[in-house]
Amino acid sequence: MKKKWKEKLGIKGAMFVLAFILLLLCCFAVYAFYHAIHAVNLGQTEGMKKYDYHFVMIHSGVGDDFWETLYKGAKEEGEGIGAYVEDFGDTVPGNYSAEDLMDMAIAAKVDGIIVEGNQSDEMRALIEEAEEQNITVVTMIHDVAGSERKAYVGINAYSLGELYGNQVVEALEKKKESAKPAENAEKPRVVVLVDTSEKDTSSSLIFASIREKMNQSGNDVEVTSLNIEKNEDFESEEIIRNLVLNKTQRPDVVVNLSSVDTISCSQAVIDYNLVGKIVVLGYYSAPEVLDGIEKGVIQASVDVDAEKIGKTCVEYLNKFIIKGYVSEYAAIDIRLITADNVEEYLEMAKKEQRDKGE
Amino acid sequence: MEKLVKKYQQMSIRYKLLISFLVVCLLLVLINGVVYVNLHQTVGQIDSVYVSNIELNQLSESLEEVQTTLYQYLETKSSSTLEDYYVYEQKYRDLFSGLNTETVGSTTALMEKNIYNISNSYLDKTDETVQAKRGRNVSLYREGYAESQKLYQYLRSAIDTLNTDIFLQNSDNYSVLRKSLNSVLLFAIAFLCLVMGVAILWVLFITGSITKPLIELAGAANEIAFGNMAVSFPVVETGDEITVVSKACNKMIDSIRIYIDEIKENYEREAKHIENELIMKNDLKEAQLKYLQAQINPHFLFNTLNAGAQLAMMEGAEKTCLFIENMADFFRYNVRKMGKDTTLYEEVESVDNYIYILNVRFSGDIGFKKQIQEKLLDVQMPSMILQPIVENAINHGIRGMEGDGRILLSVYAENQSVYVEVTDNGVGISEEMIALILENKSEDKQENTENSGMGVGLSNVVSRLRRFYECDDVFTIEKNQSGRGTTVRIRIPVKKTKEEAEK
Repeated sequence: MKKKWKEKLGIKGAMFVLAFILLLLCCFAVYAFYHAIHAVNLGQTEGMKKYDYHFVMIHSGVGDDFWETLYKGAKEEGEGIGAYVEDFGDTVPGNYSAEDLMDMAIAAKVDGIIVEGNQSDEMRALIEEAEEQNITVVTMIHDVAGSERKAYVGINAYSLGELYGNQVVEALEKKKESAKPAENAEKPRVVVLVDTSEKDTSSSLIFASIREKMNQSGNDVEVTSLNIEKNEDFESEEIIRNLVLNKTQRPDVVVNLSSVDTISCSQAVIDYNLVGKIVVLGYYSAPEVLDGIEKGVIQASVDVDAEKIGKTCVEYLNKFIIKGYVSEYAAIDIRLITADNVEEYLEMAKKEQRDKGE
Repeated sequence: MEKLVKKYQQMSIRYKLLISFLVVCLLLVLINGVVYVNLHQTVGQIDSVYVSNIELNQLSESLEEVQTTLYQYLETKSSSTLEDYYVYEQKYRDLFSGLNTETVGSTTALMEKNIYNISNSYLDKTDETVQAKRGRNVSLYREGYAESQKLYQYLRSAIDTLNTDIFLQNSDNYSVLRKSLNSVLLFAIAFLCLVMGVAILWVLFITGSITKPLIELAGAANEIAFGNMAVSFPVVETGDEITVVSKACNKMIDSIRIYIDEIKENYEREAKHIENELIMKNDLKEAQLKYLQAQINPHFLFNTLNAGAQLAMMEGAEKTCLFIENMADFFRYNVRKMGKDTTLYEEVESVDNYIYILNVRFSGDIGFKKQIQEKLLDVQMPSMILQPIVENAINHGIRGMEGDGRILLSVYAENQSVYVEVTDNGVGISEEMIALILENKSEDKQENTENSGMGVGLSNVVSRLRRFYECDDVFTIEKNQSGRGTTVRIRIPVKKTKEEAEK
């Protein structure tokens, strides 16, 4: 009798265990199913982070490392203050000019615009229109002179020019030391690649500053500017190649004012075996630029804290929206990258790469 | 829970089966329901995957219609196109009002917001343009048209981009949903199989728990059918009809056992009864045999004795005549009543004849007295009982004594019984002899003694009396208290009166 009872309990127990497993399986299945369904987002915005402000950033250099870093900085700063910063040039398809993008941003009734300025009247008018519609505008890198933008965040063109001037002087001195002065030696040539599409004053300020430095140093140098129309695709690369290949007018020093130009130029110098003959001065700390400095192709580059620019832009926008006023001008420090401190930058770049990988 | 289990256990088999099958059915329906709902939802999701693309296409088409009608209106200023314009404008407004308007961290959602706002700006601009056209402000509507054209282009490209982005997203979603649909299907099949298995086990368990006691009952019944009455039905506490059946069966088998015992007892009693009868007949036969041996042709003897009596009458020898008549009566009685029941009266008469004969033989030595209540004389009894007792009293009691031997025959009633006593004042009887007689063993001894052929042995008498009255204390022998003589007492239970015997 006892055994029977035990047997009965055994079967009952097994039944209960089975029922329990069944229930568990059922729950698991339902959970797994809902998990799968909810992994699919059909455009619902529920559960997404909501922002108080919508800022857009308009600039010329889509896909450029410098701009990417700048946008990253701006975005991070925005996250902190509840503002979403949209890289308008990146999200809006098609080859729109900065003015078109401005126009779109105004039509889209955003809360604030960060724009890489230029000297066109249209841009000025657009900024005015934006301000009329209560959209705060902050310019960066290049200012829009005489516009109603609330602030300008950028580098001091004049001190950047001075920095380049010093490097040019240094480069020329090195050359003098290494090469015996030929009797019919021509004046050393310094070419500054200027982006004419922007029509702003900073390029000319830099150029002027370099010239001034040359004069101060007492070197007899021919400083010229080469205009590059950035609005035309692939134009700059061709112009640089031509410049380097031109044997009669070959420059001794090329000053690049954008990271893309720097890379194109250093590549051209390597391709035509002119390392040492043409000194390249670069712009920004893109990996290729750092690589060039390390290998001695590029003598020096200036590092602009792109992230800081982005952050400051958003910070200024926010400040204005909250307080109604903000200081008009924010200068961002620049640093020189040479073979002496390139290691530091390379390591930073590597670290960044690792972080991205993770 | 326990209460529920108890309640379930007390249910009838029908409800038990019904409940277990219902539970299984419900389980299957439930599982199917879950699977169906899941499948339905997945299919619904799949269906809705490309809805957003369709909506965006509609939006794009509607936008184009607005722009086209605007252009037509500006060109022709016809009221029908204006009407169309307003219709399309409203339609477009309805369509884009569903877009996201909040700033959220998703590119597509943000793009929707931009489209929403640009659309508003665009419609403001087109309205403005239409108003300008109505007011015939040529420069204003031209400018407005140009601007709205620009915004239109922006919108088109933005909607196209969004459409493409969403299409890519939706394609991913579609493949995810396809996969999940497949896994839901697979899971459903596996799950149903599992549930089937569990359901089968469950049904097996339930039917097993119901039929197991039945099988046990059937086994026990089979054993009993083969004659093993020691087997009892198993006690089943399921609380259903089987419990009732098992209890009833147990009760039945108990009753059957009791009946069988009773029948056995009856059978044994009857067998004993038949045996008694056989023994009685045997005893009687023995007595008859003994008398037949002792008598040669009684009819011849009676006729002879009658002839002798008549001769004695003719010769005037009255005493001889009486003696021969008495002797003839005595033997006639013996012959006539051989093996038949008789009454106490006839027995007493036979004793009288016997004493008369003896007194003639031994010239009046025996003093015979009777103390009889006449009304008791028709009591039924076996024949040839008293004579042998009296004969014994004479032969073994008073024959060997000195002085007058006396024999007293008394018949009296006491305690619902009739007592017949034969008392003598002879030499008495030893305890050993009494025991032998009462144990029916005196026969062997008597056979060796003299006169044994004369009478039927006392043991035979005792045995016959006991069979006849079906009780043991019917016959007692006592020594008289005075130390002399013996008393033989027969107790006849009064129920054996003549009427009752007849009944």
